Amino acid sequence: VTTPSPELRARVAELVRQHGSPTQAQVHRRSLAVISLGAAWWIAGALLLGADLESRPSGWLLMMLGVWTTTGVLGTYVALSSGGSSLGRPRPLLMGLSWAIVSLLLAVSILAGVLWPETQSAPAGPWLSHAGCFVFTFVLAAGPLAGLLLSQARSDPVRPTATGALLGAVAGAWGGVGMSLHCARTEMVHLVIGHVLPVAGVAIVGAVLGAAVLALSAPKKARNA
Amino acid sequence: VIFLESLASFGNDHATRSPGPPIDWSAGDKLIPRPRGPMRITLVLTATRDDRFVQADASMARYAQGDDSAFLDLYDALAPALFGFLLRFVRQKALAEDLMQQTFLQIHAARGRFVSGSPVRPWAFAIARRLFIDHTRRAGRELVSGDEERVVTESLEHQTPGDWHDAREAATRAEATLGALPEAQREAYLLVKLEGLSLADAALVLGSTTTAVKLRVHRAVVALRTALNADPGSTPGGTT
Repeated sequence: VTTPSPELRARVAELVRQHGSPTQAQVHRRSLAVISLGAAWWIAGALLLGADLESRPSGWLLMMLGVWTTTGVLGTYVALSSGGSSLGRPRPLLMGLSWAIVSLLLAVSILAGVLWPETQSAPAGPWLSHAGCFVFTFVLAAGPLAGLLLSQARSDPVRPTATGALLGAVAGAWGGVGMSLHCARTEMVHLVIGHVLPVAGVAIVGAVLGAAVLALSAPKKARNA
Repeated sequence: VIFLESLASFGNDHATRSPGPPIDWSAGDKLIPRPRGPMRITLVLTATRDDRFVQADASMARYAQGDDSAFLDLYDALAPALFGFLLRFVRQKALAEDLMQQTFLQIHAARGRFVSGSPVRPWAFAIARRLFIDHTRRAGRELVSGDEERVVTESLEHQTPGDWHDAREAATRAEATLGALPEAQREAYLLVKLEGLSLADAALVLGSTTTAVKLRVHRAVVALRTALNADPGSTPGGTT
């Protein structure tokens, strides 16, 4: 009905010709590289911290590691898959999944304490005793978070904050897997403060960084053209 | 003309004021046009528009895979819809062209992120909308009514005088009402009723839920219908 000027068509074509852009194959390779680097960070951190698999009931350990790892794997798959649309998944779903991950990990931490009451005999200790796990969960999650965010950089024109929150929750879950391998403490309070709370924290960090890293805005060169 | 079609599809109130028999609604929600006037042209344009959608998806798929020659095909398929969408928001042709240029550069820069097999139009509209929002945040709302393009009336120049007058009157009132709608309703209406996006796709573009988009479209339709039923002298916004 109403068409733009023919000069615009020529101008846009010339600008596109001048500025290269990566194809799908190049983007996939780049994404794989940064995610691999993030995974390498996590593996290196987990190896440095070491694993203690002896001092906890095997059923307790199996359930905790199983749920945390499954959450990380499924969350990564959902966060990185598009859902068949270049616009990704709807905002309510992204926010719901972020909350679901944190809630699930919280629930399983409480449930483990209920199912294995003998794990609750030790005193919870002062607040500062949880700080180590709290900080190291963040540190372990930093690599996966950076990898996931950079692999999706400048891809979301609609809701980068919600996408960032989900990526953060997933990265936090991976951080929690590493800490679950290392930390031999089983008290409910410690698990909630030292292991689950950081997952929510990394999700918030992901939301904040996502708004800057994931948002699709005009490149400066093109804006000045 | 597509704009008028979308309005007519919600009721024949304004059509009955036009010369000739009213629209026959016996075929459910399918529009049966009267034998002369803009409606017959509308069906032709709609078919052409659908062809452009298919062409746009195919061109984008090729372009995302690295076929640079597909860009101009993509431009030709997307530009009219994108330009119309942006023009209805900024109402200045130069600014709409500037935003459209940025939109295509953004599509170009992010082509590697395009998901093969998915429709390109929701993605393109989302990018255009984001750039429009960024622009309004940077510059503030500075819509100058004196520079407004008379989009609808331009499209009706080749009609017969009687049709032209009726259609122009209805379109002008509808256009003014559309411009006066809350932005959320206007966006939803434009995407769903004018650009033909599904409710689910429009919800993705707008970052909302399908239910919320449906509600916004409904409210916009009610407002437009009310405006078309109203006394022609009481045009919303005072636009003539």
